[in-house]
Amino acid sequence: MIKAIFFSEFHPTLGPKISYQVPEDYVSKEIFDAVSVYIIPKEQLDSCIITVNVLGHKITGYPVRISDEKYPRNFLIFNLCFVCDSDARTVQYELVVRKLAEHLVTLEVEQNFLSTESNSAKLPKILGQILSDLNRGGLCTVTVGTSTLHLKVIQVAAEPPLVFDHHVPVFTSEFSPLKQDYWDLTTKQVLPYIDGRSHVARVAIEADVDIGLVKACIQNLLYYGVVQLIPIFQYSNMYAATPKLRELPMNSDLSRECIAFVAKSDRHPPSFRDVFQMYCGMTYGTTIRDLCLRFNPHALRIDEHRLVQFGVLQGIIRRICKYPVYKPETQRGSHKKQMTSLHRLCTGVASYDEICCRTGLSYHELDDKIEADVDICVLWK
Amino acid sequence: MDVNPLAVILVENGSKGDRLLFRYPYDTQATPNFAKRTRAKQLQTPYPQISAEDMQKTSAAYSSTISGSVHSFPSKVLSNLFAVKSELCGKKFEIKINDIRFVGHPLLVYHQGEGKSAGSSQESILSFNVVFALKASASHAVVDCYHEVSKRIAAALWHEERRVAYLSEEAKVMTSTQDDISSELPDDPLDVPYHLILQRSQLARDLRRVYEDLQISGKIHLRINRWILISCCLPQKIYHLLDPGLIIEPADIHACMEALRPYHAILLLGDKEKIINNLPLDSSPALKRLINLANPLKSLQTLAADADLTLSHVFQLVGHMLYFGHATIIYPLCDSNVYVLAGSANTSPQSKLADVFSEMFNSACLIQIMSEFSVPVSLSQRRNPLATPEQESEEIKIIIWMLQHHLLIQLHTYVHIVTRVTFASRQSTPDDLNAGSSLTRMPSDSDMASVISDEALSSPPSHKSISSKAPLCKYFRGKHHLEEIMYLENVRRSDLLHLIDKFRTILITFEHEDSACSVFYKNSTT
Repeated sequence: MIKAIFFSEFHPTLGPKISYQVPEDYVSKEIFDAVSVYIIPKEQLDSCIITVNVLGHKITGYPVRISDEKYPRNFLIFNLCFVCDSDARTVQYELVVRKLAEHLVTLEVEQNFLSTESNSAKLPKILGQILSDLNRGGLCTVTVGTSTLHLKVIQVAAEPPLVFDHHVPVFTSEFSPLKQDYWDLTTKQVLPYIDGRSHVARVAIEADVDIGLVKACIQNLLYYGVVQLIPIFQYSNMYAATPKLRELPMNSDLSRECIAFVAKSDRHPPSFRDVFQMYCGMTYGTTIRDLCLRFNPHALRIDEHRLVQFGVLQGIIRRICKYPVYKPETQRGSHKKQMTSLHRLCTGVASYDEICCRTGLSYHELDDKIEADVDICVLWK
Repeated sequence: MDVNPLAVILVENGSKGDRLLFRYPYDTQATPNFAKRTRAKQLQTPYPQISAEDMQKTSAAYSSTISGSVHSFPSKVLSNLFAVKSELCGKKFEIKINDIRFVGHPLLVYHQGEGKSAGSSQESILSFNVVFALKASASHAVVDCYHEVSKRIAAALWHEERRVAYLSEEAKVMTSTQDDISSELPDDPLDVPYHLILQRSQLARDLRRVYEDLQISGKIHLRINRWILISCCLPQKIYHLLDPGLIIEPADIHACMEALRPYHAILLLGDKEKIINNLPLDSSPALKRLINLANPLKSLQTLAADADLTLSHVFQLVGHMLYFGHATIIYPLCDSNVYVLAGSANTSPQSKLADVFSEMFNSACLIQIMSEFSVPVSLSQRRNPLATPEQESEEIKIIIWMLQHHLLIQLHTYVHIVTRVTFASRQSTPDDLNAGSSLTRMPSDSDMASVISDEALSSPPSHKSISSKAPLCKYFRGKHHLEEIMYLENVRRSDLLHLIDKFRTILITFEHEDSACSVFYKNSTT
């Protein structure tokens, strides 16, 4: 949230000063004097993005110096700064501030925009427009004379995790991907196949797009928080409760959302007790198949697939994955056995899902092979 | 890792203006780097030409992307930035230039109106600032930790300056060295004075030590002017050294302290002797006593009694030990504890831990033991009735070792009461259900009491009066695990299990880890 925008310059006789500010007097004269050395810095720091966080304000600026003999001191220094609260994040505004400053440089060089009083008087109006537009939608289009400038605030998020073949992308909340005209062509081709059930490899085949491209698209969607990755749903999967499960009965919003999400039909939602009981039943050694046999979710009007999906998305439960580890018995190793390709995959880092995707085996085929092999031991975590 | 400092800088603002007194590390190859710099972004022309003029106004060339360091900033620029106006003194000072963040805590030596006593020399220091340079990507918590370090050093210097004018003396040494060099060698080889200053000034050596300690161990323990103690640490760094996958912020430790209860125990992360030897000489005797008596079988309450300390004092010491990475929190080892392989455990047989493990426990295989803990097992289930006492103690040692390395996590059983009210509401309209009025109603004590009284009528009371168990129902909200209920109500596990079994139609149990312990299992991979 931008609190204020000000335009400051180095006045030939008065020194650093704020020429224009919206809203007026948000940054007081005293505060500006204390930080002016960072707003109008030494020439070595020109064209650097400088963010100073003192006295309760976080001020991001990009000081610019234009050298020309027409100016009283042979140069013009100005800095257009965004002011935020001291605990706010400002990384996303840095590029906007720089683009704006560079645009002003162009305007000044071409039209003397800043140095003529009649022109620069338009600045407060422009600053006001930028302030309100960026705070509202993160987008702003500024027109000065004949030139137009487009500004966009791009949220800087953490690096998205790597996408693997066996991950299942699922849309977060009520995102309607098909209405958006916003994505690139490849993403548009992939989006219809993201249904919360198909894994990445399958999405790639169904959408007829190269799997590398699909992964890149999904990683991009992850960055924007449009999708989340969950494990493949299988009846042989195991899940365990996390401490967040305790919140479910306490938080009425969450439990209402949960019931609506897991219901088989909207007209007959399941009872909370049954839903909660099924979540509580998820523990080590209990597969979804066992749970279904025990509770018969169909009769309880619960969609077990959506139950698991909701739990994983909300962090109520977490998947317990199976990791085979190849561990040859050395003592009876008179005849050294050939290491098969399967053994090479059993590093303790790759889970069953990953190996299944790599080898194309089904869960049961892989399980049979690994059960039969004495040199592989299996870890659950 | 963004925790490491890039540089430490000392700046004074005196009667003669601002001056950079010392910076570490200084650039040993300043000149070649300078030539290599290219402007990251050219404003005027899209085709940058390296010209003499361009070298003078390097501007964006200070972007640290080239060498990832702060060497590219000339001393004059830094001193101008960090010798702050008096309005900014006594507060946190933070400035980010491109991708380097500087954090410090400037202090005024004498407050306004509080003049220095007459007769002192003309060159007095008005304010000073100890600044750390960090990567801009360092998290908020890391920046706060560095601010704390800077503040402590500044406070110590402030005190010593007012006591014996220590900073003025050191500053004189530093400035005279700089002046000597610049008068002898006017060609300005950037690094030479700092090298000499290190030899001549105690404060410069102290600052170098701060930098190196933060870089290597994350712990600082030194005395400014051999008088004022500075002892602090960066928990992020310490835990990173213990386990590279572990990201522990001070907020996590505070969360753990919030969840800490007297029935928890501490598990030392290293050898007892080693921890005590690494403590400073004048450390609290209570801390030493606590470490000596620490035992994974003893709860904090017992420990407090044994060490003859109050429980709140023990909690404070435990908080300290967690902050310095000496210990972790567990539930005291006992037969009924259920352990399972932690989700964050590294299961690669090639890992360093596996090698260390087989070295420690006569070539036992870590993967084998881990696979035995793939399903939750209690210690009593693991006990082999035929095992010799040696084997049993070995077994316990293995479990302790695995807990120390966060490979195992304990599962606790939580109980939640769900009344049958929900069944009655099945006939109600869907609107009611959607509103969630009856579904999410919290079962009240009276519900439980009525069920209990029904049961009491239908079946003869067992070995204990059932009415005595009614107060327990306030724990059946899923907030307390069985061990906690046992502690709070002083009941036996068998009684509790009996009760849960008896009311299993309305009591749902579920298992997960304790929130006090789980913060130490956070892993970057999960």
